[in-house]
This record gives sequence, C-alpha cells and structure tokens, in this order.
Amino acid sequence: MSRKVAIIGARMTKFGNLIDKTLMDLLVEPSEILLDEYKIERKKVTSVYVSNLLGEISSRQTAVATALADYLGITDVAAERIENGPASGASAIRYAYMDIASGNSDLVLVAGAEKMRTAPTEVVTDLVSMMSHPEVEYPSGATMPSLGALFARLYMQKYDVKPEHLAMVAVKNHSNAMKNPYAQLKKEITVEQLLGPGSESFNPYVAEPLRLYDMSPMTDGGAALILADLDTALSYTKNPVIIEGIGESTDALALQDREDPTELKAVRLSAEKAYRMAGIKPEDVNVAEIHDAFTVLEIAISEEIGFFKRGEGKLAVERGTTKIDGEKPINTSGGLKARGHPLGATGLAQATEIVWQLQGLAEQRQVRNANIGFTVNMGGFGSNAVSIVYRRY
Amino acid sequence: MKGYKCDSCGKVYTYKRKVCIKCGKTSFSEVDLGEEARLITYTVLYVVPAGIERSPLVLGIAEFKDGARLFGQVMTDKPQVGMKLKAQYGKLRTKDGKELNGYYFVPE
Ligand SMILES: [Zn+2]
Repeated sequence: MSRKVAIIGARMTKFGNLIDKTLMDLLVEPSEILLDEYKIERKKVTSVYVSNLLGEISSRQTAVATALADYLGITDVAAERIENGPASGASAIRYAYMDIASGNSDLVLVAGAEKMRTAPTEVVTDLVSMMSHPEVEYPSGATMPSLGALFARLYMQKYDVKPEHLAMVAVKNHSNAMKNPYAQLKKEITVEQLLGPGSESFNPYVAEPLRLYDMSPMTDGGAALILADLDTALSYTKNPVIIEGIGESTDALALQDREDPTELKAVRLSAEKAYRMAGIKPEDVNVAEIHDAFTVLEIAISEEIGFFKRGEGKLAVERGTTKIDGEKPINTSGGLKARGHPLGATGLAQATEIVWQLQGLAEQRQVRNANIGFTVNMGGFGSNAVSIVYRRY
Repeated sequence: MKGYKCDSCGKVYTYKRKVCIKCGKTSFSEVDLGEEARLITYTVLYVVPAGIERSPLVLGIAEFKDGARLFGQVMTDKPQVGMKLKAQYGKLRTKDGKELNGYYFVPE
C-alpha cells in the first residue's frame, strides 16, 4: 500500500529581474529558509529533485540537483534534475510523490529555479522554442507565443471570446499580484489601458491576436517545497498539506497533429486523473493555480479542468467568479502572467501559492475556507500537463 | 503535395511518421493531397526568431483535403482565415550557419 504524502512547507524567492542572484542562489535561498524554519536536520533529507530547463545556457551549469545538495551540506542522497519543459516543477513534485509513496524516501527537497534574464532574449526565446516539434514546427520559426496565438485565434473564433475577455484576465491577475510580495509585475492595469485608444503603443501586438499584456514575462526566480510521508511530516508541522492526487498526460507534440487544436486534451486528461486519484470532483476545488502563460489559456484551461462548461470560461471572467473573493478563485498569486514565469520554478510557485492558501498563510490573498486546492502546469504548448490535487490536513 | 494516410484509422499527415499518433499503427500509404490548402488559423509575429529575415512573420496552419494539416510560414501581408494557399518547398531559416528547408505557403 502506498503511503500518504504531505508537503511540510513551501517558500519562494521574489520573482523578477534578479541580475545579482545566481542560479544556485535561487535554488539555495528558498531551500535553506525551509530547512531552517521547520528545523529539519540536513541528514534527514533522502532525495533532492531540481526542476530547471536552461541551466546550461543561463549559468553554464548542469547536474544542478547534486550542486544544490552540496551547497546545502547534504550528502548521500538521490539528487536529480527534472526537465519537462515549463511543467518541470510539477513533474519534480510528481517524482517526490512517487519516491515517498513507494517507501523509497522519507523526506524530499524539491527546488526549481530559472534565470531567464541573463542570456539575450532571442537566445532564451529560441531555447524555449526547442520544445516545439523539431521537424514540422521549429524550422518554420515556431515560438511559444506564435503557437499560443494560433490556438488563441481558433479558440476565440469557436467560442466568441473577445479581446476584452483576455484583457479582464490580465487585469485580474495584475490586481492579485499587487497583493503578492513575491510577484514580478506590480502594476495595476485597466481594460481601457489595454484595449482603448492609444493602446497600440501601451499594449502592442506580439503575436496577433495576442498582445504584450496577454503574455507572461521573462522571469528570474526560485521556489522550494519539502515533502515527506505523513507521519514524518507531522513530526515537523501540525499544518501539512496532503497531496491527494497527481495526474500527468500528453498530447500530439505538434499543434497541427491534434485531433481538435482548440482543445487542450493533455490538460483535461491530467486533471481527470488527478481528480480520480483524489476522489474529488472539479466542483470540490476551492482555489486553483492554472497555467496562464497566455491570458487565453486561463480561460481555456478553466474549462478543460471542469470548472466551467466549454465556452463558459469567459462568462466566469466577466462575472468575477475567478477573483480572490469569487466562487472559484483562480491564480490568486497573480498567475504566470503577473507573478512571473521562471520556467523551471513555475510549477513549484503554483504549488507554493496553494500550500500557503491551505495553510492559511496567503495574507491579503487568503481565500476563505480553502480546503482543497488544485494546480495544473503545462509543458510545451499543451503537449504535456501535470495536475495536482491538494488537501488541507 | 504528398500525404501519408494511416492504413488503420485514416488520419492523414503532411509528413512521414513511423507511428500514427491517433491509433498507434505503423502502416501508411502515400496519397496525393493536391496543391491547394486553406488557412485555418494564423498569427502575425512581431518578435521573429533569429535566422528568419521576414519581419513581421506570418505563421499559420493550413488544411489540405482529407484534413491533413501543415504548420508554416505564410508569404502574405494580408492573411485571412479561409484563404487559399499553395505549399512550396524551400529555405525557411538559417540556424547555426546552416539552411533549414521545408514547406511554406504562398497565396494562390
Ligand atoms: Zn492511425
């Protein structure tokens, strides 16, 4: 029988333009804070997983998990770097989960970080594009924003989603980020600024129909979680968060090859697996962090994960259902859009927000009576997704 | 334009695959997709990857008969969903000093 797995705690660095911090700083800082805060002896740690994509280019570094263990004074552990595109963070949690549930490991440190603002933007954009199909997408110049835009046009056409809906997502997530001291973009915006007269210069098109404020920014940042079997977790905290379900799924690598390119099947199937494992339904979720790398994705994903019927995600945004004080709060942290999107750290930052919500530590962003949380972290452009269901202990 | 039709489920691809992503079978037959495709979605990309001279760059997915789809550059300043396109083979971009070739679209 597999063991219950719990998160003892979660921490992250401030996200943003962190020129003075190295990749190792971004991994070590949140990890050390956690180990110290929960008074965890280094020798108790049995595995270290690190999610990171661009270490080779950003920092001339590979094998970063072994490096993190060394920097923390941890030896004789399993230490591995996990790469699954922008879903690396959630994948690293999944490895930690399996490691603990199987009885193989008792106390696991998961850390993720990315430095995206050191290498020139073209280089980083190109690296991120390499997760597209190497034969039928990459050679033509596919980038994540361009694939996002092709999806956006199809999806918006099919469900009559207007630029105003996308703008409302950006406005909400920027507003949430104002309440998050760790968020990158600290700027209130309005729909009028994004779409009104003069908006062409304030909010230029990047990949039509997507504009600058539809995109998540380039971010430096790190986040860390410590997980353990429930008994071990309870020896460190009275307030752990239980991982009730994890599901991962894939879809055709190239957008053109998907049965219906307006769907995000990997997202849907990963969520269904996670719900089934947790024995819950989408309506049971009280707070969620979902992969809004582009504003349109927040709306589309909110339908794929069963929060709203197909075509009704936009209505939820109109009605304020997804605001912090709404019935179904989404991306209370500010999401990828405004908290920031440091690829390897993103899945862990999503988990961090949910852990804080369920531990009652989300301060101004606190959702009342938050009992069940959910995250979905997307890899590639919809070719991979990892969903996680969390429960307050 | 050559297509590759899965002998088992009938899905048609615009490029050679060893295994069908839809049904997992491995036998394909070559089919003629004709010359004409229709643009089903596009973007005008203002941040163009290195090695591509056109800026802004129009990228899109076009559909041939039998639902075979192909992603590629569209050589037009006035893209429109539904417009008729022809696929041509040639240079797409330069990468590490080498030319990458493949299909792109021109308006009919
Ligand atoms: Zn087939």
